[in-house]
Amino acid sequence: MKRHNPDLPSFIRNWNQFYGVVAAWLVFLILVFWLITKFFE
Amino acid sequence: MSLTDWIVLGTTLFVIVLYGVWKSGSNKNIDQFLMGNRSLPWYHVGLSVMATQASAITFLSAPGQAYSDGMRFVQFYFGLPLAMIVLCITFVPIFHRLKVYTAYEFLEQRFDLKTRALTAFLFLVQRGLSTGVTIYAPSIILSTILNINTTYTTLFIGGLVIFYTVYGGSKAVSYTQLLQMSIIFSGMFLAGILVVNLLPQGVGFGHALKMAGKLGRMNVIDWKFEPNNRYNVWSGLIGGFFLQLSYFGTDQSQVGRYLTGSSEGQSRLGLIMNGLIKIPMQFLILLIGVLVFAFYQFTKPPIFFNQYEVNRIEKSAYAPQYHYLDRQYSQAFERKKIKTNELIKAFDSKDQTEIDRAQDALKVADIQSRMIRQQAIDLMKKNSNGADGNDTNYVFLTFVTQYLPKGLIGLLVAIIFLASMGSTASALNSLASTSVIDIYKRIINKEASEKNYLNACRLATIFWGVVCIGMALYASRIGNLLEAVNELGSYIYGTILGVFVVAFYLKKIKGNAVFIAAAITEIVVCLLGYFDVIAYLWLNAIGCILVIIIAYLVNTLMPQKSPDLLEPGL
Repeated sequence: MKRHNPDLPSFIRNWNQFYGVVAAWLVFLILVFWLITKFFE
Repeated sequence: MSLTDWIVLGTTLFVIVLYGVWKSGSNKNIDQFLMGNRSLPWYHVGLSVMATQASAITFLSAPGQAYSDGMRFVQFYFGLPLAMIVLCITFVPIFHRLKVYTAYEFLEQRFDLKTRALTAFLFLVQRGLSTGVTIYAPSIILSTILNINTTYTTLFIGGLVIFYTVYGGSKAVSYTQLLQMSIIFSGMFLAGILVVNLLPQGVGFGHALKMAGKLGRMNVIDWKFEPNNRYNVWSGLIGGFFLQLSYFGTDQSQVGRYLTGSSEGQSRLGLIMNGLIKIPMQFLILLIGVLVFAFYQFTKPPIFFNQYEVNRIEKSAYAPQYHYLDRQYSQAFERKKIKTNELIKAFDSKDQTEIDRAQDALKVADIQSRMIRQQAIDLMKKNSNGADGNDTNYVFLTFVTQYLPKGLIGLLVAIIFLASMGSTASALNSLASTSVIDIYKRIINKEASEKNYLNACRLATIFWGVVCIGMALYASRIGNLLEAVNELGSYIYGTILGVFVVAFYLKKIKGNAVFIAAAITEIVVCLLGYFDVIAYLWLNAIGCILVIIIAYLVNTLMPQKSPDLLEPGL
């Protein structure tokens, strides 16, 4: 079994998965901001 | 400011500088001085990177920008998380593997000395000039608000930064930034809570946001693609991506920060932390500005926030006209306040027709109010050609000094000083490392002792500190210089990024081709910027792409001297 990278948080398997989390976070933020814009228009 | 505020301000600055100096320990070689022994954990790296990017203007200008233009500025940072990913995949592993001190060192290993020297030179010019502005811009605002001469605030900020950067080097910079960011976060959070508390009885957080939204201040997202519109999703994602990649990947003030990480993984984690936190942080700072805007719908704002310009016109022949406009503005405000209260009542009634009617009436009152304000600004410009008609940077501090309780005013003024000090310290450290590593150690004195290089680092820090303070003092006499320097980054970053992209991804392209491409691109980008062909954010992307295309063409067309040198082996 592949050893877990000690630099990474325990719930992240590898760096690529972490980059995916960052990209997903960006998409999430843009969606939330868009909803805020629509709601307060 | 009261005595309590001065004590809070003085104590905060003193404790932070003392903490940084104490934690830095003694520096015995340049690795310790410039890289903090490459020993810092990820959260240190992340906060240091954020403190370097967040200058005082970030905390002064952003709330003011939200006050006058709404939340759309946050889109400027959309490219940042993507840039962090590319940095983690490409730049960080190579810089760590080669154990470089500066980003430009890598370019000599990949291309040649002249490409390294050119990029290092471009960096020194750009960073040297812009650091002067980093000190000057908050100095002039603090001077106006605190009623102190600009020279003193400039000398104070500059002198303090030189002291702890020279004494403690990179570690002192990082440790002070760690504490600075903690205080900045807490102070801004407290300010946000207090703004909501200062709203009139019966007007809550939700009302404030709804009302600000009806007046166009909750415009976070704009999907429309317009090349000349600075802030929309596309300029933020594409233009912002190139800008942030250039800034974090090729500007030594940032490279020097994440190379202090104890390992490649810790540096990566620090950058990812920045990618995750930066946008929400900027959103919250802008939200404070929107709340300040809501506050000023119930409490009369000054017709113009920059007291310096107000004093000037009050002493001029236009004073009677200005006072007349000021009275008109007060009356317009009272009418607008009635409409604002009607809108709040309409929100509570939940009657959409009533809300729409009240919104339209408020918009009309708002336009009348703004027209009077514009007339006052025009009058200031008529009185003096050099009058600054933009008071965005003064909105937040005016609010802080007039309405926040004693003690907190001192803390928030300290935040402005700290933000300025944080980014200036990183800049001085990076200017020193580029001067010593890329020029002194590489070209002037190759075989000196560690002690000699360490002393050179300290001297270079003092030298650049003095240059930047000089620039800041000189900038006060030449208004246009400020704007020119602010845009200079966009003129240079794209070209340098192009050189790095070629270095990383197009391994067949040689030094001569990339050098010629960089020179041609720099001329083209400067012309595009000078003639205002496109919004400056796009210049980074254009610069980068041009370098790649021209370098490829030149490399293909140029006769190859020795085919065995085509693969530099990186």
